[in-house]
Amino acid sequence: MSTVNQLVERITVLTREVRSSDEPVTEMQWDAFDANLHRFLVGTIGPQGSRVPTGEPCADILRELSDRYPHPLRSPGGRSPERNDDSARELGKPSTQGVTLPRRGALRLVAAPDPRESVTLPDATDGRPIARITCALGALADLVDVLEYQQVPDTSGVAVNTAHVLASAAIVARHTLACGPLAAGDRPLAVGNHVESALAAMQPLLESAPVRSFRGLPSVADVDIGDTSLDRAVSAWSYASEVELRARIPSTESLHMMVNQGAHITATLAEVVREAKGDDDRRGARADLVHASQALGAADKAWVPGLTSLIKPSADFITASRGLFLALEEVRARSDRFTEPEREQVAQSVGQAVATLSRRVAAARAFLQPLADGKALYAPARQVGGSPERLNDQLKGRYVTVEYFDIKDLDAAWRTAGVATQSATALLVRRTTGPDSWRAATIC
Amino acid sequence: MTRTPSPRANALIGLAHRHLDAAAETSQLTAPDHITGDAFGGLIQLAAATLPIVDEALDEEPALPAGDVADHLRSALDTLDQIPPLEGPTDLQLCAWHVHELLRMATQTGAA
Repeated sequence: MSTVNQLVERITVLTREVRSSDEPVTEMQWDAFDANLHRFLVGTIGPQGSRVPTGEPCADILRELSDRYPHPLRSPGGRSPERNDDSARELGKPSTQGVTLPRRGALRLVAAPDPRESVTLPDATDGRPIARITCALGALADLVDVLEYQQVPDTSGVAVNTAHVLASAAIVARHTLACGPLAAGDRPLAVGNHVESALAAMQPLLESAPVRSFRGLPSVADVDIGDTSLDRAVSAWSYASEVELRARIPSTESLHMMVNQGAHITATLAEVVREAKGDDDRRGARADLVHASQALGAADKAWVPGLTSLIKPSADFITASRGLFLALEEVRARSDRFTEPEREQVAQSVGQAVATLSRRVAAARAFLQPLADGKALYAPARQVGGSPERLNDQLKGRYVTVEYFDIKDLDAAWRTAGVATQSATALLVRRTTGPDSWRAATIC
Repeated sequence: MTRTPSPRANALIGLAHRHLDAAAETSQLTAPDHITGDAFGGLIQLAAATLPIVDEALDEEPALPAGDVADHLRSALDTLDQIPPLEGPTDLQLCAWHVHELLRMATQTGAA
């Protein structure tokens, strides 16, 4: 007999196969996974949430996770999703969202009257990773449902198992978006956002880090706006970086990324304007952009290796950063072949990123001293200045609390980078006043 | 409520960190275009920050085999996949996904 742990382990292992697979995911395959995920989440908290206590942060997230699951689900005849249960039983009670929640004994093998509303479960012999993970998840949902009448683990055990499944569900959603039909992308996008947000809210509770709100988490998909892929990448990065810096204690690696990305953004704009049929103003702007890029690069190199606030960067920010990198690289690869209208358009988009960058670098630097003064920064003892108190930690390769003194050179480099970026941005603003101004400045 | 990786998982996470550090360093040092190399190295460091830190480093850690950025990313991913599922952090699959995406960028788009 399989245990919950064995099935969670199997789902995790199968997630690796899904990740490495290039096979397209059909809408039917996604629907079956989606229905079983929902069934697992509902079964986890039990009927009316009776299996998890009220008032516990993790239990509240589990309850919200189930209650706010994106709807509508495809289910037979508006009823709960099917499962391989040989007994036809009564249906469960409708939830507040109008989705029929599956309860113990509520799932039927019989086909729905309207086949378009039916969820087709994968065959047990189907060797494709998405089918196998759906089968494993279905078995887990069944087992969790049965556990209703047995001794159940405490909330932390439930939360840990659920977090593992959420991480796997996030990967399946991302994989489906990458390999599935575009026309059916809404559902995996919504479910992927939902489970990633829940996981991000749950993770700090499992790791003793500052709590993040489930409802308040960002969703890059909500800000995926713009006419071109470059515009969309800049827009997503701008939003994700703002949310990242809104945290009470941000991830230090996210702070670090601001200057790293800054060097990339300013160097890209400098290349775009270099090839322009320019006037003196453009050449002046280019010189400032090159100077800003060098200062940001120096600030990047001044980073103390391993410096951490023990907070992880968000998945949204990491995804947006990758998108921005690819968009900027595409611009740089084509910068000598743009037509003048294209160049104007690209300069405007990257100029917007430079304007945002200037604010982000200032905001990121503002965290350094308060975090150090608040003893919220740590680094490997071998990477910071030595002192008799740190000798033992250096010998054992441990992390130590970082004082402001340890990062004062870093802070100075960031101040220089901030000034250079502001100077380049100010020059962009002034360009708007001239009759031949290039429109990159208009967004500043 | 809190949960920490097992010693075995910690050792593998430490090794994955070393491979990711090596990938970032290789990107910064060997990329033909230093702007691209530095930016891609930053992305690798950002992905590495999703893994827990490993306290207590060894004095003499065995040298990693030489390789390019993709080699180190692939080794990091293989190392993460060796972690017994229930012994690592609960969001391990999401961390591995970020490394997987960087590997795809390094091999398919030649980002590194």
